[in-house]
Amino acid sequence: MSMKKSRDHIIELLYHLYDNIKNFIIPITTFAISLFSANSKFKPYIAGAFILLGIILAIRSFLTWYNKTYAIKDKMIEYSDGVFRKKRTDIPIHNIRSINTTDSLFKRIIGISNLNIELIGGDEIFFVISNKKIKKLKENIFIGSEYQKNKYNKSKFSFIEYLLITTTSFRLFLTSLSLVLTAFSFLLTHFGVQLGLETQKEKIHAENDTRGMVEKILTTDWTDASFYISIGIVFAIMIVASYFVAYILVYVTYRNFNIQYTEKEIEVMYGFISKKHFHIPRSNIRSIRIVEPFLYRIFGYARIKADNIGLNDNASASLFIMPIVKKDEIDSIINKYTPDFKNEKVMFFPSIRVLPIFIFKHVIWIIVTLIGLSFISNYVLWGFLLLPIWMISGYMKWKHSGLSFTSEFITSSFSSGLTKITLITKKKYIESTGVIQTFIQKHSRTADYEYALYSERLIEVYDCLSISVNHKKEFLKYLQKQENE
Amino acid sequence: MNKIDKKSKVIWNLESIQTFLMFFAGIGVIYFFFGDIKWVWKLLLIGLLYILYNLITDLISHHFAYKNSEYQLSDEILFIKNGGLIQYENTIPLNRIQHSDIEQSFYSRIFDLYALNIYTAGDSHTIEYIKKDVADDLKDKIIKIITKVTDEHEKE
Repeated sequence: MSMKKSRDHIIELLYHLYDNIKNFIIPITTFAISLFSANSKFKPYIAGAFILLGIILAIRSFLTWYNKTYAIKDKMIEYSDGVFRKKRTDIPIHNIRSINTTDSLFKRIIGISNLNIELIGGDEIFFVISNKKIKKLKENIFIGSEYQKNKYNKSKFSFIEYLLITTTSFRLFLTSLSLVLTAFSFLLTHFGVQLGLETQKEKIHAENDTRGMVEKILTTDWTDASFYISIGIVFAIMIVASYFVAYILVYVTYRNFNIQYTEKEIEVMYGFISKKHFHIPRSNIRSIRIVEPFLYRIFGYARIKADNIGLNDNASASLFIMPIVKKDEIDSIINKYTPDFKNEKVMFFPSIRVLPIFIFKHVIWIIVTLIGLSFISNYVLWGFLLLPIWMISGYMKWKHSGLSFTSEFITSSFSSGLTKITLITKKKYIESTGVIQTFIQKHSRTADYEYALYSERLIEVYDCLSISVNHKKEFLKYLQKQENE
Repeated sequence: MNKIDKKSKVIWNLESIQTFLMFFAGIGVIYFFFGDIKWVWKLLLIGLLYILYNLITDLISHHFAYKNSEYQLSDEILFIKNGGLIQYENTIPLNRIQHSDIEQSFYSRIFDLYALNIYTAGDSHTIEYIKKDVADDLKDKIIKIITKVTDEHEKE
């Protein structure tokens, strides 16, 4: 397949403009208005600066769009971008590690998508081209005719499953919060009196208020308890409303979650407003993560993720083998979609004897810091009331720490906050193994086991805390064995 | 097992003392300008105790670090052991090493010693401090193996 030198679809120019308005004009203008007040004497200057900034950003958007070109030859993609500092990159097609497409509702209507191409070494390029061209390109890059054989395996989730996904979709929650805040602000401005949120007198007072943000903060009575109660109630309403909106967004996003697999790759597709489409070669899957957030664990669910070599952190965060699955179905899901992996159980755990060490390590610095700061103010000592949080965190670390290593995989489990993560990694992607022992651990005959993974990041090391020292020699020789195998 | 150079201990101690003196000077400057404010000097006192604690633990740790530090290069594996109060043992298969470099810090230059840094695709390791001929020899051996592995991959 070859293709002449082209630019992104013209619609992308509108997106550049939209991004600039969203990322620069709105935040700067909002900040200026909140700082000086909308009715201040600086209003003409703010308006002037706003227009000037708009013109500069419009020119910048056009030049960015105009200078980004690409051409696809038989074995090479020629890509160039940059306005003042031009950069041309020739990418051999065999260096492409994965392809994923994203689009928005508007782009879908006119039949175009963002094509993201991940390269060996972690670089990423993207073009905005028609879906027809994308399909041809995908077929040429690493998918053979067998690609068409399997049908999509559409997953449907229950009410409780959508609810659980909502509790972990922080990005969607932020989007919902933003929508709720906007709606609340609109209602307050236009229907505040009718809804009983403010009196007519308060409304007139607010409209004539020329104070800036700093002045408002300085003149607020921070000792008034009713002020905090009002803020607390508004905050609680916002959170509940945001979760409700987030639930709808989660439903819309995951209701069409599809996963397809062939011998060579898996394809994951979901999303409605912003659609995500991943093509992952199976051989590039480095590890599988079984993620169990606190609420998932309570209801007996988990989430299965794949770590793909060449996928950036952002894309990786959106790549699920299954966003939610019952725990007893994990093995069958892994066998079906990623049969190169096995859900091997962790075999070595820290013993109950080391539990006090885990808790001690978590609280000692908090205690020292609080005592130190209490030297400045006695109020800091109230911080000791929060000590159980760190003790629970230490307990969770102990409870979920685990390790096993076989001739094919290293499996380790650990906790991040209240979330339990089990990481199953292919042996060929382990870069080094190590053992760490503190003075205290020597006495308890335990050690922390760590291993580094082949990664796009400079450092990606995982450790399993306070496992018996009996496996130390075997673990340190783990990769040596591979050489002899 | 090969040991690192004995003067490493002196270099680490000098580096720790330098860090201590830099923070001490910073605390002194803040005290000079804002020492009259009660909570500021209390905060500075806490800071001073903290950097003093770090200095003492570092000096003790360096003593053990020298005792513990050793390394061994075989045909397939580089084994590194280091650390003072906390001991680290690492095994790095040579075919996983992406690149290595030799580094000389300000203090190691005084003693004509070098640090050998080894990078894999997921972490990095250091052998500090060793004589130049030892560092060069280690680096050459590692590069030879890396080149051999790369050639084999290219043939495939």
